[in-house]
Amino acid sequence: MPRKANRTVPLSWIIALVALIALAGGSIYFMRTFLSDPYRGIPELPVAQYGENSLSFRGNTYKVTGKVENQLGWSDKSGRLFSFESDQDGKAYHVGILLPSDLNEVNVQKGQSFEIKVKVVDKGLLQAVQIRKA
Amino acid sequence: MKKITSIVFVFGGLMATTPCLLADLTPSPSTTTQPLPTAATTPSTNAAPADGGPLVDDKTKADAKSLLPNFDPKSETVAWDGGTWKVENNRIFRSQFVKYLNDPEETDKASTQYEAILAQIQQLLKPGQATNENVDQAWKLLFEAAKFRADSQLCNDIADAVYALWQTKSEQTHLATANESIRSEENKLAWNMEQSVSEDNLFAPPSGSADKARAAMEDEQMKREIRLKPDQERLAELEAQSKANSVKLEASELQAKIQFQTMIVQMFFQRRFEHVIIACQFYQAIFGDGDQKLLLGEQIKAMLTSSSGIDPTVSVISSLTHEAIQNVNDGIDAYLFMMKKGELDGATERLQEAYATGLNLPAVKTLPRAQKELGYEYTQKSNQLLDALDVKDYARAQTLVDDLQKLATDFNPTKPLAAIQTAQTISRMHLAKAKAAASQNDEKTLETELTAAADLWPRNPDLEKLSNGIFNQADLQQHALSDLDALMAQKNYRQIYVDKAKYIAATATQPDKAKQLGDILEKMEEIELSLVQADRYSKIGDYRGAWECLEVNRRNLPEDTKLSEARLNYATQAADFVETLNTAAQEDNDGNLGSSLSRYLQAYNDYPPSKLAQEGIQKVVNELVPDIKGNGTKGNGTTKTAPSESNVAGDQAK
Repeated sequence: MPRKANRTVPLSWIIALVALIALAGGSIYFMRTFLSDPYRGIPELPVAQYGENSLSFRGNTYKVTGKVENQLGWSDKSGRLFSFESDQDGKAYHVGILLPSDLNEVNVQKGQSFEIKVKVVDKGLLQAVQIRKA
Repeated sequence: MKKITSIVFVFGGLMATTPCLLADLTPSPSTTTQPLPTAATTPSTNAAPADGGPLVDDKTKADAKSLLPNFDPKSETVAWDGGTWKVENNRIFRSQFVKYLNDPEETDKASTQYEAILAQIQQLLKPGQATNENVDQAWKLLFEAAKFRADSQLCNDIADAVYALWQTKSEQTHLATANESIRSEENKLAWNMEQSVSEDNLFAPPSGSADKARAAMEDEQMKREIRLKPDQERLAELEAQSKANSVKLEASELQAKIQFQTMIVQMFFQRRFEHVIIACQFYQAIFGDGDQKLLLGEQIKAMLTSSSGIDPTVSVISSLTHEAIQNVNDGIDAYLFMMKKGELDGATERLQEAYATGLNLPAVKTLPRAQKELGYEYTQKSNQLLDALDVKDYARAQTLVDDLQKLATDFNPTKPLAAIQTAQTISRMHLAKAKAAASQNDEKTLETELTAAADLWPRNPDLEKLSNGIFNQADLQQHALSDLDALMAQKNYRQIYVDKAKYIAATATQPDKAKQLGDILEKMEEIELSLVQADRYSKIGDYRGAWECLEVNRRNLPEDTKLSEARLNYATQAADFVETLNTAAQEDNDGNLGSSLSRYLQAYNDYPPSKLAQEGIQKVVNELVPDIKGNGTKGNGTTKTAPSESNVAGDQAK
């Protein structure tokens, strides 16, 4: 009776396979995260230039990262207006951002940092489109 | 408490600016004849001169003496440079105190970390725990503490001074070793000389004739002297070197102690009590010989002795510091307790004392602004009362006295009322004299008395009544009225204000003109008041506040040259702030509202008390979002002042 050959898979193959699977999984996760990021590809608002002439930015969409300073006012219809402190090039700038009423559910507390997708609307006002904690 | 407060407060500022006062040092008798070595590592203005003379020359001493204020504890006044001040009631102090009341509490992360480091250093240096390892660790932590802005690099100074002390100690060890080797060499030489002498034949029995024997003896003696001469000279050299080293040894320690003690005393007068405690702990850890006597000048010693009653030592300074800190903490407790009882006068007095002594202590810095608000309101009104009395606006002063009585149950109106009533009474007396002069057609006396009455109490309503009877002489009245018309047309309101007595009397029979004049005088009084306030702000270096104070009034009366000059002067001192506000206003006019709001927010963050920034933010916000509510400085529990203070910023919308 012929003996069945006792062949085993080399250990290096197993390690390479596991590494390949891990790499593939990581790449898929990264790609999904990257592609699903709503802020992907949105430029950061140049706050210094915005302070010089906000009207020239009208119609554009930007990303602002900043810390909540104060609530400047609120309106049932228009939403809430906050002042944010945003650091750029080591200098602190202050901008007002309107969170429209459809973002009323977002709990905004003084001192918290947020990443906000903003659109520069009429009169140079920054209006939030999306907001998330930084 | 008051004594320590007064001494520390009054001299604190002066000491900081005149370090030479601390250098009124003369070396002790044992060191005056020998040159003191100057420490290579810590060059200081207090270092002893190399020639061994007094550390400070006579002229500097005389100058320093003239700079020293003279404090009278009975009246709590300080006489200096020809002036006398009430310690806790002068404009500079009041302005600083008002600023403190309006400042937010320092409870941010950096402040907490900073205080934690200082506490850790003190813990490491506690008596019984100050091992070499702990001292080293505490020394390293000094550099961590110095990184914080609140520290003003004082921990660096302590670290430098401690390092210099260690170097001095090391130098002393070297000198002691050198003396040891000198002594060893001296012993060796002495032994050699002794052996050399013992081998001499000087006292051997003479042989031959007496002359020959004497000649041989002299010859031997000469030989011995020649042989011993180099050893004797070397011995003398070694003796001199040993003495010089001993003097250096003593002097270097004395010098190091003087420098360190000077730093401790200076920090004490600067009211940096936490640093004083740390420095004292280092001193006690490094100089463990129990000698803690202060080696400073007599004036400084006298100042400390007068408050403690005993000879000053480092321990005395340490205990005075602990007492001061305890007093400050008690003062804050007393303030909170009296506030609850509505005794605002006493409460703010306690807080003023606590602030004067412990403005750098955590208990003062972390007092929440919410708990200072009533004190702020009371202090502001008290200051306004003093300003109103200054510009002789007695009607306003009377209103403020009434307000203060309502606000504080323990407010004592006696003094202000006495001032108000005295001025009113004397003014009425002058009016009576003016009336008599008018009845005798004595124009000169009439004018003098009217001027005196108006000077004392410009808005005296009786002036008008009297004038009705006086100005029967149509020419005089007509002349004054035409002058008034001309000045009004030129908008030369300052001249009208200067000659107000004449014009008040002249317009008494013309209600329309009197009303116009009244409005002008009211405006001018506001301007005068704002000039006084601006001056007060500028004295504490708050040029932005000074400029803003005048800017608000300039909008009402741009023609006033005195106001414009002062405003321009302050504008140059606060150029960035002024430019930010002006640009923000310009952008607002241009419809560039996003930029305008950004700049107003910048101005507000740079200077939170700014009313112009707050108004600007409110205006721009209203233009950007017309149906907005709850913005601006009032209502809705606001932050700082302008925007909303609510921690949960989103709650109000829900």
